[in-house]
Amino acid sequence: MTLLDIEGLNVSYASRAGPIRAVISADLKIEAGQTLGLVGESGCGKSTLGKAILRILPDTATVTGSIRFAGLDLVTAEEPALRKIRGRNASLIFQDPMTRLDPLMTVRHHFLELIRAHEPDADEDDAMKRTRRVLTAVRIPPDRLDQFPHEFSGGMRQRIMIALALVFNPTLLVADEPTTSLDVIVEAQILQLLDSIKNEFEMGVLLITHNLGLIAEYAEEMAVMYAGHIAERGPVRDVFKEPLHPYTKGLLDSVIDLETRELHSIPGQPPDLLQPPSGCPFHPRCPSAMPVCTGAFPPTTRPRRDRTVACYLYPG
Amino acid sequence: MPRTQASLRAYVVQRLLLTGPMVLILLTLVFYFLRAAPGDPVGAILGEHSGPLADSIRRQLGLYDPLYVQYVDYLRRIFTGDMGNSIITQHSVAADIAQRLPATIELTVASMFVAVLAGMLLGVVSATRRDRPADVISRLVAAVLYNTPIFWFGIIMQLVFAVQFRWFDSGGRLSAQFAIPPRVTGLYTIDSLVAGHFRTFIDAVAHLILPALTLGLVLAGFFARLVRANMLQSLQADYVEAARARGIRPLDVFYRHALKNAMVPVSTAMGLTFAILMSGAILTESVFSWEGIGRYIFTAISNRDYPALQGAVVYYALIMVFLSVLIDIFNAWIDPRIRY
Ligand code: SF4
Repeated sequence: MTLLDIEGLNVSYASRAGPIRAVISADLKIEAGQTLGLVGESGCGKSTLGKAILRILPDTATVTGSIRFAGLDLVTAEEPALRKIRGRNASLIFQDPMTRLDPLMTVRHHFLELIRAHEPDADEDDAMKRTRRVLTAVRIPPDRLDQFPHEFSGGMRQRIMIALALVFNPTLLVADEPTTSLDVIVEAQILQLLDSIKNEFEMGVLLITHNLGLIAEYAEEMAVMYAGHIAERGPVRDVFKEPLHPYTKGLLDSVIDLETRELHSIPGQPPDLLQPPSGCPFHPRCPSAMPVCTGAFPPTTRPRRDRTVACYLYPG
Repeated sequence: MPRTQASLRAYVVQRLLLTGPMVLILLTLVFYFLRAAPGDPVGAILGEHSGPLADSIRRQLGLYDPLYVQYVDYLRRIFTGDMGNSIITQHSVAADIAQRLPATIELTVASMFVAVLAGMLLGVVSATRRDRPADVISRLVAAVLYNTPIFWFGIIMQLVFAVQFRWFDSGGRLSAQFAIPPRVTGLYTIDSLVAGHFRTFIDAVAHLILPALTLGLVLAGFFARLVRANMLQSLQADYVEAARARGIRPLDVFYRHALKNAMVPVSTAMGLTFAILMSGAILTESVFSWEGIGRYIFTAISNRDYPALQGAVVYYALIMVFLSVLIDIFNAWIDPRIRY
């Protein structure tokens, strides 16, 4: 069953220097209980895409296209309807747990506020019972409820964020670089926790990361993003075995070469979203670029079963 | 919340213990600066001739004693509440100050109320409508207010509201036809209510309005900038976005998260503002013939009345210390990170 269906999604930010197109006609699907890994360099629009799903982008952002979720189109849905979805049907966890909890509020109040926001009549005892349940699930001792965020480590704060995300058993969890700011051991713990919780709570997960290793380990499906476009999509195992898009190949090469202690990063810079290159935005860095690549953006084709790619090397 | 309460209590105790040395340092500084200023009070009054009269007054004031004797004497007097007598009026300085202090407190509290209310309003309007017309207008208002000289502003207020429209009296604390209410706090507004003299209360408030607006609005300009800057920062804070992502209503996000977090630096700055408030009080009290400490200091400076000046400055320093303790404790109460 399709949990989240994104079609033709565009997000652009108004800026003094003109519109910045952060997401351009993106198509994505997440099945119930599945993890989709969204990978790309920083500034490619992947975080914008994650926030666009919950519609928490700043006022300067314009969103068009469709995001079908929980029987609604989140692009056209009104704010009150969106508010009911946020934190209840779909939750978001962020990169930097150190700054995501209100420093002046105890952990208890974060949970109470969340539960009361969605169930104004919830009584405190019941709310605390639920809070203890999710805290236990993320292995935070419930007796630390009355402490303030600064009394917890980064890893523990991320667990608290996850617990907040889980209170209402959401069907979708958007995890935006959830472990980037944590050290390697804590990163592994948090990801294993997310993985086991995903199964326990039967959630679909959108895992946004720049780290292909995490995708290989934790995702079933993946999408590669470049300069606001979805460059390539498919099952993780197939994409790793046979990357189609030259950008995906470059990304995978830099990972593999890392293991042989040789760093082969993709030459050139990620493009400026304010003035992206014409045609396929990857053409200035692409080893296979052809004259046609500078003209128009390549159509998205389906050269293999369950795979899509946007590149002139794969004509329909 | 046993843990957090215990840490707050520890912080308060620690903060109070620090107050002792702080007061001592302040008093020493006051002593030093008033002695280091060129000339002495006697010379200032009698001119630079040293005649037998000047000598006898100097001896009487203890100015021939070694400095450490003067210092110890000075501290002893302060702790026994004896500030000496005014050179001009020969009144006890302590009694003079006790007499005028409530007037200044009344004016200061009322001005602070105006400043916080107007400043928060302007600042919040600005921050929530960033770069839109409402923001531009309230920033302009704040900048004009902040840069207005108090003395000039006070006179304009008098001209407009007292002389032109005759809504208020141009000075004083009470009209002549009302008796001063029996002293409980010394604040006429409160004392008149305690005594049940309702019309006296109205009259006292009417007299308070112009000076409080003058001083309060100038400070409001300062607060508006402060509130705006801190609100803009806290509105963009990560926890505010995270709260939104959890489906918290925008008003709750605004008040519970953004405003509360913006208040910590604002209230710290409020403590510092009392310094501006006091210098502002000197001018405001002079313009509006408000018989408070500000006017007392103004007169003492004009007359080179050193004992009076020293007494007033010492009182002022003690009030500052007291307020800074209060504000620190308030901040520790809302912000747990301060209670290290
Ligand atoms: S479309 Fe052209 S430039 Fe873009 S990735 Fe394919 S080959 Fe390279």
